[in-house]
Amino acid sequence: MRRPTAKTLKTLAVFAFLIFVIVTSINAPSVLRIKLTDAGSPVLKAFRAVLSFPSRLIPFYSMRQDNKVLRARVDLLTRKLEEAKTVSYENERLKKLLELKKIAPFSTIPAQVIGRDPSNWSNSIIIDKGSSQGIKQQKGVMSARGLVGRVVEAGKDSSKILLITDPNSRVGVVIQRNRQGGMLMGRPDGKCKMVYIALDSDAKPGDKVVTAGFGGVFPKGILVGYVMKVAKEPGRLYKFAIIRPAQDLSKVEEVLCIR
Amino acid sequence: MHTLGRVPVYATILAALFFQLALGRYIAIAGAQPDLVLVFVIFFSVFLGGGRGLETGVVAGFMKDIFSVDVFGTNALVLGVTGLAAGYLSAKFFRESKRTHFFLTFFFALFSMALTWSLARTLSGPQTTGLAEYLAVSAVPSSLYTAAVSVPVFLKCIDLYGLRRDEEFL
Repeated sequence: MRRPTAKTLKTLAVFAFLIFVIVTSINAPSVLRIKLTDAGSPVLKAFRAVLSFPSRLIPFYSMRQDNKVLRARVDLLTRKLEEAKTVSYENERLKKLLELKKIAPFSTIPAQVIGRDPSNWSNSIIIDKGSSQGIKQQKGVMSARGLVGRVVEAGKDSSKILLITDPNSRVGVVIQRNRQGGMLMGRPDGKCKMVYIALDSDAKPGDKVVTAGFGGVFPKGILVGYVMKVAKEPGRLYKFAIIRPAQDLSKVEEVLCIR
Repeated sequence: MHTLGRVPVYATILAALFFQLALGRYIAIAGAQPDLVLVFVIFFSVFLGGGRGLETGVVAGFMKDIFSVDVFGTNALVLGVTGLAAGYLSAKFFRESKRTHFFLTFFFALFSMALTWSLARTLSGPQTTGLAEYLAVSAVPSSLYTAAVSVPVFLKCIDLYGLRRDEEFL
């Protein structure tokens, strides 16, 4: 039999090491990972700041063609208008958050999204607030429109939020109209799946789905999304529903973290 | 096989990772995002060989793992296997053809996503979507987008790192 070469042994050693890392990390959140995410958050904030600059200048580009004589003037006025618009949109979004913060029966911490999961499989975001601002692990996160997810890793100045659309996310929910319960699971296509709906349920497209309030992570009654489709799970004694999240999670920029 | 120092390789991957983390959603089309880190892992594997591909994939995967919520090490394993396989398979193709870039990237993007799905199933149990559904709704669109992005990126990087040497064989 041919003896394995040093190169093959090295490759096998690398894969053995990786499998060891995975097995030891399954149930233990890495402290080192939390610290490294914290260390990377200033870079993410800087990237975000750089991005906001050109987005204000882009509208001017097309207007330069319009009129050579009035170009400078138009540019100036348009820039001011665009800046005002951006501030106005931001103001509107923050106002909504503030209103929600006022009516919410629980204390919340507002935070900004500074990064998104780099992998195709999982769905998570990184926010600019951490344990030093009062963020705690396993607490719910919402936006002005609805439920966003829960805190899975809280660093000192940044935290990772597992979105409700992540395949590992589980949330106890009820259909608001008929109070029938089920469990919400994430899907990689940005939607959710509600399982364990009773076979005799009259759930239909358009129904609102809200949190059930079990388990203490999410308060009761937070809007989660809307039913898109209901069907019977093949080979199972329950129905399932495809849910469209109330908040478009690919566009969320500000969130409220429940204390 | 070409040679290239480790500093430019990891600096490029780190820059791609931060770009993807901070600005990825702005370049998403109908929810599909290109995986820029994977593009660079495949690029360096194709031009530097299987051994360096494995090394680049593992390091890039650990970088991804830091900012992800997946079980730590999952991305390192997936990208390590992808880098190794891309490095060995690329020896059979003309490395400077745009078609090769597109099809190699598409194939390995799909391969890495299928591997991720299998690992998730092994580590977390049954998933809400089966492999076929995952490939159809998420993996194929993302892989196509990643492959499309890889063509200009590969061409630019070949010139940037001075890797256009395959003509010697012709």
